[in-house]
Amino acid sequence: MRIHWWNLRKNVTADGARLPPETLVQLQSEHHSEAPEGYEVYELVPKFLHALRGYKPSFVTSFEAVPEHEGLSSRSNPRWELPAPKNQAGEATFWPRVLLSPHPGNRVSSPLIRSGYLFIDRLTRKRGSTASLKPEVEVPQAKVRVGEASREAG
Amino acid sequence: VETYVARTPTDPRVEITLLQGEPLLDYLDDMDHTFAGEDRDSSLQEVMGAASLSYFAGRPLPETNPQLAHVGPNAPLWIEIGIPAEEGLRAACAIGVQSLEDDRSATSDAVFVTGVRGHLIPTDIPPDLLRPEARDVLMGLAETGLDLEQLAREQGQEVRQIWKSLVAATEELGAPSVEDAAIAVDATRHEQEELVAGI
Repeated sequence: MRIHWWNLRKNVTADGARLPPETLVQLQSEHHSEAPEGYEVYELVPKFLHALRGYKPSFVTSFEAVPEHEGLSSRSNPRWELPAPKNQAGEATFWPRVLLSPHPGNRVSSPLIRSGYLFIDRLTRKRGSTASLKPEVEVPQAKVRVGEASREAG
Repeated sequence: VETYVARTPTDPRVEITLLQGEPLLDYLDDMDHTFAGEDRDSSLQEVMGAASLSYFAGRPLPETNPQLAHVGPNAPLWIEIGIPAEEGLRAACAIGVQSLEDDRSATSDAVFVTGVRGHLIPTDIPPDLLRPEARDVLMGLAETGLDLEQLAREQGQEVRQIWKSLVAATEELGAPSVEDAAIAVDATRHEQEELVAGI
C-alpha cells in the first residue's frame, strides 16, 4: 500500500517536496486491501533532540479517509493548508500515517513533506574537512565561505 | 526585432552566519523548549554528558563576518564550512540563513565534527548519544581493528547479519561510512576514559 502527498495548487504529487506554508495539500492512499479509517499527520523532531531526549514525532492533525475509484484508493478530507514552522529552524517536516486495522501485511511507505520559506540541505558527507550546504536545489549560482580554513584531510 | 525578458521579483539578499559554541547550544536549547513545551524540567546543558558538551566548548572553527548573498528559486546558494583538520577536534556547527528583506530565516541541523587519526568525521549526533547496542557493535568493530570477519566470529553471528547491525548503527550516528562511525565511537570512548581517569 502506498500513501502520497498531493500539492493541490499544481495538482502534482508532493512526496518529499519542499513547499511554502499555506500550500493546500491532501493525502492519497492506494492499493488498499482494506479501506483506511483515516489519516494522521505528525511533525518530526530533529535527530539530535530525538537522540538526547527521546522525543517522538508530535501529533499535528488527523483527517477522515474518503474512498474513491470504487474503494481502490482514498483521499484525506478536508484539504490541509501546510502550517508555518513554529520551531526555531524555520522549517517543519511532516510525516503522514494511514489508520488501518493491525495486520502484518499493512506495511505502508509514508513520504515526508517539508514546510518553510527557506530550506537548507546538507549535501556532502564525504571524508574531509569541508561540509557543503545549500538553501535550495537546482544548479549552483553563488558560493560563500563562512570559515577561513578548508584543508582537506584524509 | 524587440526582445523581452520575463523575470520573477529580485532574489532577496540574505545573511549567512556560522553557529557554533555557546550560541549554537542556546539555539538548540530554545528548540528543545519548543518541542518539549511547558513540561520541560531541565535544560539541554543539564542532561548532556561531558562528551556531548565538549562539542560546544569554545569556538574551535575559524569565523568570518556574516556573509551577504542573494538567493532565489533559480539562484540557490552553496555554503561551505571550512574546518581545520586538527587531531582531537570536537566541534558542533550549523548554518543560519536570514533574509534581509522579509526577516524570514532558516537554520540547518547541527553537524558534530570529530577530529581523529588525521581526518574529520562529521556525524548527525555526538557518538555518546548512540543507543547502547549501536555503540557496542561499532566499538566491537574498532576493537578488532576494523576486521569484520573477526567481529562476526566474536559475536557468533554471520558476517551479513553483523554488517546489517553496523550499517544501522552508522545511519543512527549519521557518519559517512561504517569505518568512520567505528573510529568516532572509539575516539569518544578514549576521551571518556581519560575524563574518568582525570587526565
